[in-house]
Amino acid sequence: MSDPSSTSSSERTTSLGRTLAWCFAFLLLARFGFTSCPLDSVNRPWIPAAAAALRTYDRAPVETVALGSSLMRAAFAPWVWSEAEGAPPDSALNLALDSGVSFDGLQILGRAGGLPETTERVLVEVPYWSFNRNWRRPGGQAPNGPLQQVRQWGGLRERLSIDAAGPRARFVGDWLWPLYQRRGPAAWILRLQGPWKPEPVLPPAGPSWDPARHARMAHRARFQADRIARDHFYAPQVSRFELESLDALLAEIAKTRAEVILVRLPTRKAYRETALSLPGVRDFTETVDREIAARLGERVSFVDCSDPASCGPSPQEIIDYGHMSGPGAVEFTQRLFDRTHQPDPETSPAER
Amino acid sequence: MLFNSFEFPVFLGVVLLVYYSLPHRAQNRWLLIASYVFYGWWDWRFLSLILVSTLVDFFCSRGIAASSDRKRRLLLLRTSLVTNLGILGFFKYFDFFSESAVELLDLLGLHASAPILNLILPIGISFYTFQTLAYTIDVWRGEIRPTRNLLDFALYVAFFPQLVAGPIERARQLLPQIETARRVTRDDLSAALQLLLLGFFKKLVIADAFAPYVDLAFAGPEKLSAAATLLAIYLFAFQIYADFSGYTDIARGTARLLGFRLSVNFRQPYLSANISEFWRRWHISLSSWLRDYLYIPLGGSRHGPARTYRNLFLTMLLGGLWHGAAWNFVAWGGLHGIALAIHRMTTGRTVSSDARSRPPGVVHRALGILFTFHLVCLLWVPFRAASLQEALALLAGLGGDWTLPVLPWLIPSAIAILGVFALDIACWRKDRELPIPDTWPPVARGAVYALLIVAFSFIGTPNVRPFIYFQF
Repeated sequence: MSDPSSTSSSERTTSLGRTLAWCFAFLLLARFGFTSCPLDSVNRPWIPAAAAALRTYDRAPVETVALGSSLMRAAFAPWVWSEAEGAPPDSALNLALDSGVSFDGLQILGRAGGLPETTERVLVEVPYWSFNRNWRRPGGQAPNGPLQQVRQWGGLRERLSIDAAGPRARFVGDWLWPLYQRRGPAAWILRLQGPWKPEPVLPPAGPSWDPARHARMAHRARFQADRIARDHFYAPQVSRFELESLDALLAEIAKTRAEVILVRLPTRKAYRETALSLPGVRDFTETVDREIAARLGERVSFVDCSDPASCGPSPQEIIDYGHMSGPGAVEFTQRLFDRTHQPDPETSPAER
Repeated sequence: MLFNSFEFPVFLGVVLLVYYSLPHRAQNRWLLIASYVFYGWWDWRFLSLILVSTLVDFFCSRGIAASSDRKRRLLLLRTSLVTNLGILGFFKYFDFFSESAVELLDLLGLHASAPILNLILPIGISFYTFQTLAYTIDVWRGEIRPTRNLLDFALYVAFFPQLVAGPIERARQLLPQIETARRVTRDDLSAALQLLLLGFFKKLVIADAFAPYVDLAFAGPEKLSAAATLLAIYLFAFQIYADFSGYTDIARGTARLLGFRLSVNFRQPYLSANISEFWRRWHISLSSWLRDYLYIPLGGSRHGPARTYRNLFLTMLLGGLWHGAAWNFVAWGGLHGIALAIHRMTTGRTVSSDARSRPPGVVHRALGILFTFHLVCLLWVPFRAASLQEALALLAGLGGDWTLPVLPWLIPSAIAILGVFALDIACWRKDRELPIPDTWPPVARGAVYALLIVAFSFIGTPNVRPFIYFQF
């Protein structure tokens, strides 16, 4: 056997070249693997899809738009709202996205060319976690810094059209080597079940819960509530970026005659209790409450439904930490409508 | 500039592009400019401190070598010591001693006030100060001849791969590499690639993934179960190892791209079978500095057991203070000093010299590794805590309930830790410097490198965190 130390220089050169070639080949393979692996629902380019849905909506004049996260998506049943208002069917639109925050709402309206003139009110979900700059995505993985931006700039053409050179380079780079569109271990397991193709269209408006999934999640509800609270309130620190996004969203809506209803949606008691037991959360929530109170006015009101006792639904209709079942959404939407149309003005969150 | 910032690859690319096209002397000038840009990127005003240290040590050491008058040589040595330690003391320790003096007087019932300057700690000051001090002391001892070239010496002080967090290079190791022409070989490039990938892997996949949990746990220990507290302690042990050894790997890899070889700073420290061995494997450039310039001048082990224990304790106490101007660092150093003294005491009494020369059995060594690892973990608590009170609060949490925390996002990083341990064990068993030898077939090496890149691309957090040792 030859002594490895006696390897000649030219052999080493070839060896390094071959190593790099193999490394590059494996990276290409990995790159191919990523794109055939399902992006989880959060990372898909929903913003362009939601904007297109709003821009091209022609089923009825839009009167009510709901923006927010998957909680709002599950909780707001547009047909119940339209019926309660006595408005034409399909006049309410649920544009909430998984992990959607104010920045996403702002981007949707911006890309859709603003709200339709017929819009009378916009429901904007303002969960505490969305204002925590360190929140983690439930289900694991490290915090996703440029998550919203990736969802905003879905395709290569859009990424190339970004004005600023820095973000353009980063997001074109991400298209080549999808650094920001990371897929967690769960996505790789899903990939084993079959190939995946991107579907840049919104899921059906309103709640669409699979009963089997409902049963599974209900079984683990307390565990989910506890764990997700820890993700949402991880090292809580108020995000100036998100507050500025909320301001910009309110300013965008103010260009129309629509009123804004800021809503905090119901969550399970275990979720709220765990959250409040975590270090720094009380101070954080008080700060967020003050910030929201400072934004209330003649055309901006706030409804706090975080305790299901105030707006429903029945506790058994909350599946995990806060997502509602179909019947729960129907019940909640009706009660939310009643609450927002009651004569007494809402108290501001800071006064509670 | 951080190694893990977006600016660094661009900076390094420009540096290498120009560097490879220049002759030796011009390469040194170019590296000096690059090093000052690298440091000034953070705050250019503090470049003046590096320049002062450089000039004082260059001329003092020249004077020491040129003179045979002991008084004059001593004066020059003291000038160097006072200047370097004065700058370090002023920027790093002024507020600490000022506050501590006031607290002490308060305890004695004397109410006094002292100025608090809230000075910014210049990055890397502890590292380059020790490096320049070692140079002057070595010249004074006659162990090395001073360099005649000021620019070469300036590069020795400011060499950017190791400027801000080491390894603390001795002049006899680094200066000859600066003074003679360098050739970047394929071996250098291969080693550099491996070191850089491993360094980024350790930093981004392990250290930065564990950091948020550790931060949260140390900020609010009263909210944690005992199991969560214990997990935080373990995770910090892995975090600081991955962070610091990752930084060192990147520093060494960057230097290899330039044709330099920096010292090995870590040799699988968590596989040490006793605390003394740990310090021969952890932050080797600092522990050997403390040995050569503090422990041995204090008398080392030459004046009987009692003086030896005292010297060990004092050396580690000052080593702790070197890390940071706070009592928790002093406590950390002191506790390590006590542990070293106890180890010295017990091995000295219970094991005969004949028995000591025999290698320990597998079980004995495994138990030693387990014990030493847990001792080191425990001693990391005062090191990481913001204060002694916080450290005690965290340790008190170990007496609580044992509800296991559920942290699924840590699983990939936990697997990564096992991977690093596997590589460490491979190095340790074969006594190798690099875990992936050239003897591996290119396909295997290529696969490992790709795996590392994929891991830090997709598991590593995108939020850039500074290296822990930058604060020292």
